[in-house]
Amino acid sequence: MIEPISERRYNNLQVLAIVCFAVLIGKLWFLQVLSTPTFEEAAVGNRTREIFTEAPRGRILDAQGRVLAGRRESLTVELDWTALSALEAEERTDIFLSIASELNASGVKTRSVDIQKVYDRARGGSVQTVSVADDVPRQVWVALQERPYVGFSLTRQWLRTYPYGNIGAHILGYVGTVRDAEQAQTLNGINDAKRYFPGDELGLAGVEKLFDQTLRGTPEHRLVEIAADNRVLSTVEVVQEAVPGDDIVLSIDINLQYAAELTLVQELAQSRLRTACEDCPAHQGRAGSIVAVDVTDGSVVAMASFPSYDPADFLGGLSQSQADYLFKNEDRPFLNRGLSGRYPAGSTFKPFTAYASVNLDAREPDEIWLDEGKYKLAECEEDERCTFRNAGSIELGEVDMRDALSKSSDTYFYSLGEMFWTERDEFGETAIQDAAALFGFGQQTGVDLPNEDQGVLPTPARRIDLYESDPDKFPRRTWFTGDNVNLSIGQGDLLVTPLQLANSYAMISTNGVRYQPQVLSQILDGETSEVIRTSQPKIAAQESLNSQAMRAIMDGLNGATSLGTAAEAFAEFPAWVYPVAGKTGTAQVAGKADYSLFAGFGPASKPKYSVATILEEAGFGSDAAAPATRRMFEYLSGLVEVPAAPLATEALPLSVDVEVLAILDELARLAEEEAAEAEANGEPPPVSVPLPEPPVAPVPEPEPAAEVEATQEP
Amino acid sequence: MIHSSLTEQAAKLHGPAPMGTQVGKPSLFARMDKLLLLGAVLLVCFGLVAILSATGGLNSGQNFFSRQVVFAVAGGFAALVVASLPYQMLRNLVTPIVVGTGLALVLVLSPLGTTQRGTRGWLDIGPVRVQPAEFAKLALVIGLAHILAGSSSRRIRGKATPDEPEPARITAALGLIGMLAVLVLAGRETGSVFVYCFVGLGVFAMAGVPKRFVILLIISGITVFTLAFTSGLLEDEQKERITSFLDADADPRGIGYNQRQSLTAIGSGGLTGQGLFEGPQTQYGYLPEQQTDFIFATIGEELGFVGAVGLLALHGLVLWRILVVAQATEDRFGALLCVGIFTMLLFQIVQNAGMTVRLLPITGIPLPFISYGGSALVTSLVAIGLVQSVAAHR
Repeated sequence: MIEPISERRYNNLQVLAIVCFAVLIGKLWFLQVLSTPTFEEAAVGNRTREIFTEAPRGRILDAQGRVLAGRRESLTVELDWTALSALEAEERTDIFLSIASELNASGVKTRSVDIQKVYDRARGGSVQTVSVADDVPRQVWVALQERPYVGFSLTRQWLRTYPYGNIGAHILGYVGTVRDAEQAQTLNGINDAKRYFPGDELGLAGVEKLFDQTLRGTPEHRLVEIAADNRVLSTVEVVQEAVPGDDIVLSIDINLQYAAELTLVQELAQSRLRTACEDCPAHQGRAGSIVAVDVTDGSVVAMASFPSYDPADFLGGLSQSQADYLFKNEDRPFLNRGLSGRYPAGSTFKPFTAYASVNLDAREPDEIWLDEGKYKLAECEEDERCTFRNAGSIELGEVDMRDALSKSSDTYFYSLGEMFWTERDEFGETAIQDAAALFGFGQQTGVDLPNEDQGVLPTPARRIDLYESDPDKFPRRTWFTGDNVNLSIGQGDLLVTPLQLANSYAMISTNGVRYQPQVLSQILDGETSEVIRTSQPKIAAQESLNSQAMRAIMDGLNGATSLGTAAEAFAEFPAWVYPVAGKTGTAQVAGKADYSLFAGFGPASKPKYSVATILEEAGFGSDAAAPATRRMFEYLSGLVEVPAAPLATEALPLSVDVEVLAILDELARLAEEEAAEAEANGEPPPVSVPLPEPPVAPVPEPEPAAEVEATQEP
Repeated sequence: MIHSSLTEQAAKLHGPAPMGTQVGKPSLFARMDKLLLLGAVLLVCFGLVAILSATGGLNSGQNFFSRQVVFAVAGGFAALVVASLPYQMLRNLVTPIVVGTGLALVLVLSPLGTTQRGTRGWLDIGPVRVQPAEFAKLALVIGLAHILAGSSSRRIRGKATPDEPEPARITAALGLIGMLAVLVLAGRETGSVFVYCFVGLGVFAMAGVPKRFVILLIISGITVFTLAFTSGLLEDEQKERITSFLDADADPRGIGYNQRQSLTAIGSGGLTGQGLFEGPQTQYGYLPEQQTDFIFATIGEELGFVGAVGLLALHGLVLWRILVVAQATEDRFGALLCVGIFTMLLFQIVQNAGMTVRLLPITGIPLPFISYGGSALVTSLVAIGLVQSVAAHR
């Protein structure tokens, strides 16, 4: 008989089992009965997430309602940072590689390192998905549906479109994306309802930037229930419906804008064909701007700036060649020269010196001045450096103020400039500057576009301030007579923007009313297209101007286009139908060909539009800027039909500035060859351009380096 | 007298056949422990329903449920066969069983073996993938029972420690545990080592092995485990699974995630649960390994406290009946067999359930009868068959 196992041992075993089960049941009781609410909450929080979906961005329309910046839907691959961050780094890399190969197989070039970058930027506890690739073909959609990857999903996303390509690019600006959570955080101070998330569209220039909050829609905000693999199971709550952004209607007419840009490019090209004087820098004709404003309300009707860029380039990320073109190009395609370009005003500034003269009773408009082609300062009669000459040393003989304006007598204004300074006890130190400031120089016009420059209105006090702030950079402390003389004809330290110039001439035309220029015309509700806001004309200044001075200036400006410096350019223009008053300008910039300027308004009888044209390194104002402005008035007056702006999809050399420049270079080369050939045949050069003497250096030392730099690289 | 009380109990259990009226041998069913049978059948059914729910129902396209049904039928059949044979036969088969198991464990380490989740524990035999470490649990029970029961002719009377096994047997038993543990550890399957140790402890204690050997077993178990932990044999992730238990919230998306999700599932189940097929943690895939290691959490979420305790009650029923059969057995081999199976099941139940409610660290030990997995289910069912054989053939 085998000894049975003692019952005591069985009891021990039983006790052990009972204790174990009791502990288990006790813990279950604690979890399931005592702390259920905590865990229920955890379970719900576990599987609900906030999802924000970007709403369609508002459109930008031109004055006629044409879409300048629109939107379209794209199939987009998105990654979900939260989901991917739960994985091991190696797992993530594997998934990135798979996604990249999936995309590459369907023709969407993507590198896994780029996906990694997108992932890294999305870091920061964001609950938002970030787009990895836009415009993926349907086959990717199908592939990813069949074989889903953790943390990746496909959605429809709204993307910006610019139907007119680069036409009006500087006004429209462009959109980029919110870089990372940090940037989103900064932006979110603005408006809580329109929260930004990494990857969202963000206006980075022009109207897109300044009106970003208007254009931006209110993102949809949902609380959703998700599975462990981040599949969205259901919507728990729609906290906020998506509201599309509001539309913006501009005062710009895209056809007119196109006409301005076309005119600009063509005149620049033309300018290259004209030979400059011997030993003068050649006409480069590489950049410029035309600005047209409505003098009756300040609305901007066209603002061309060359070279330009295509805002669509930024949508899918810049390619290397695009980035090189945009960022390394010394012509700075990004710069909206219309309001950020700083230029010497040259003779277009003379009306303001004239205004100071009459207003301060320095010289009667009718007083005759003998223009001998050169002018010597009284205080240093013997010094050749004190001699200032007319452009081309032309002797104009007896001129009054009207003639001095229309024929652009420099010596007339030199003498005024000298007088104002030598007799500053009577006229004050800033006689010319005060008049200029009255017409808006040295201050921002307040246009509703970003990055406006205020130009430079030099004064003796400013010079002292600059010297004291940095004597090495600004070595000159004293204001000399020569500075005043230079200023009288818009040279020296004076710098203006094309928009300032157009606006100052608009003020001449309105006899004292200066508006704040505006590109915004209306804001339309994004859903109903109802007008939410119509921008009202904003008067920046309303002055009762000296009527005697204004009469003389008007006569002088009218004379310029009929019998003065711009008579040739306006020869064919029907002044009896649409008289244009204006002033040419030829600004000298050290080491470069002259800048060609024209500012004017029309119809002079009942002014409507004011136009300022500045063509860099394009020669005389009468040769390039005056004809360009005449063409603008042909379009503005309706005498010539405005061409329809082509859509970006149509072949258009203007859409690729690089190509245009190449064409221009080729044309210039051909012209040179032709000239050389003609010379070989013993004929005179075909282009007869007056060969003026090189401008005489002004009395004061050369401009400080910084200012020169500013002039050259506005 | 202990003896007579046991006979009475056995008489009660064994149904209508009255003592002394030997009208031939009663049928196998009549001789089996009905409550044990009932408990096992209910547990298997419970497990099948839980697996069905954890894998998304009948139309999920997943075949865990149907495969488990096949395993259950196969296991049930094997259990019946085992139950119908006299368990004493095993004493003659111990050597082939232990050697075969050892070979299988070696084979797992050969290129024929397969690795899943960092553990090398599977052998592919035709279409079936078996986990020898599971069967090894049973082999260990049989081996230990055989060694420690002593020879059947042995008679020891009137001694202070009448049933103390000879030192040679204890050494052999320790050697058997050690061999299996080393082989399984080589495949990085820590969970089974714990089971072997615990089974060893249980059988040692019941067989009257002196305390110093029991303590030796505990110490060497701890030593082997510590060595394994520090020598780099274990993957970091396996270590983390154990250490993360200490601070599950430290890395909620990492290893601790599993246990946190399990707790959330069980806790949100409440008293009566979210309803079968209705537990969001389970149905939306938040629960890791929900048809295998963490199936207890699924049950806790969907059936609540009532369901979880009900399941434990069924387990309790089975354990109780095993002990009853053991106590009613005069044969030491049969009794130790039952005790080994009892400790094997008890440890796995407590460890698995304890891990899901964060009483114990995470190990890959399945919940007997419930977790998905053919080897484990068949092992458990055959174990019950063995107990029934003890009940039927004493």
